[in-house]
Amino acid sequence: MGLGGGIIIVPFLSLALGVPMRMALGASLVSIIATSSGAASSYVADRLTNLRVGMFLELGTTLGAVTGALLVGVIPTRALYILFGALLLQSAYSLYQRRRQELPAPVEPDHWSQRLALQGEYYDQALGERVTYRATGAWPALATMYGAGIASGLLGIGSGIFKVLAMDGIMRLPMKVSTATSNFMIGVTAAASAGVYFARGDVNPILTGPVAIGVLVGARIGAHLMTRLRNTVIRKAFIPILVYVAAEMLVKGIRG
Amino acid sequence: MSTRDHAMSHGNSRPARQLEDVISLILQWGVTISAVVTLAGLLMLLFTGQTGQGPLVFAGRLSPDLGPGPSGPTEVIAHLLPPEPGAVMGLGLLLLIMTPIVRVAASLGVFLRDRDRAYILITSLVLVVLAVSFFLGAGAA
Repeated sequence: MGLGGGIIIVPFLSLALGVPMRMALGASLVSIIATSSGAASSYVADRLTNLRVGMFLELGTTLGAVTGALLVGVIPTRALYILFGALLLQSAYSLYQRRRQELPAPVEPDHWSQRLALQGEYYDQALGERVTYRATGAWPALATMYGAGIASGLLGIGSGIFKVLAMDGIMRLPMKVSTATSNFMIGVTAAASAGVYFARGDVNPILTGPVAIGVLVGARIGAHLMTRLRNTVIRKAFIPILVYVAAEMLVKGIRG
Repeated sequence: MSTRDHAMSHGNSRPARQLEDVISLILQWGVTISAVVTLAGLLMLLFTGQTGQGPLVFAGRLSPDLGPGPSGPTEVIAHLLPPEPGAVMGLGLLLLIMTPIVRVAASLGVFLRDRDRAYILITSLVLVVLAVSFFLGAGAA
């Protein structure tokens, strides 16, 4: 799905198991690297991932991730939960509007997307044909990725949702390419903030080890499912998840 | 809903294909190796019952006063001889964190070979950010 699962790991560890917040965040980030890298390896092999788009946008996500990891404790998390919750709801609405669109309409690439060769092609198993696509909005997408990186480092999540939305909504890449590339970037994003957490002593191996292994097993199954589904199906499955996560974030933000 | 209006055919060049294979292998092996090491540490923990560091209650609930983790790679390595379960798991997790970083480094190698200047710059910057993250964390501890 392009989701790392951190959004579930953090509340589970901190609320259900009583793990200190920073340590829950550290464990979640490391587990996200496991899920993302495991799934990414098969998406890359299937040629779904746009490596250039990934590398370019990672500039934004890694910088954001380090910023976010350093900001932990400085910015009130409640405010962020509310902000992100609202943002997600808005995104769910825009996805809903485009729910019937299997592939994006051809776009006129902007100067930078052209210069960085952000176009690509992939073989769509569900459609049974090769799909070529072009990209636009390279800089707005990069800026969004910086925000996604901050969310990742600060909230211990992969923030795959924001990454997918930036590529699907701003760059106009096909949904499958967006989810695969998002997954690809999550590993590097999480590694950037996990570095900060690890060096700070917030990654406890005794806690993180078992969590990471459990999460890895689940990721393998999801990756093999996705290539066989249609873009519209993936998009429709995405909407309820967005709404749910948005509601969860808003509730957390308001209740504190 | 036709895909045929995406007429602009832009075949994948050979270097791009090689890059994809190298990256896929790095990710696959990185995750596999780190999972094996982490699992080995977990089994050691379950059989010896000793963590090697920090208190831990296994009554279905982790103790709230779970000790802090190692404060860096050196501390993990220091506890590997003789191997302590916590340090072995720590090593596995460190390998996991290194996996995406090695992936970025490998792609830098490919871009260097292809003299792709824009991407050499982009990838180097990402590597610098990743390297800096470890130092920043140590400073903030």
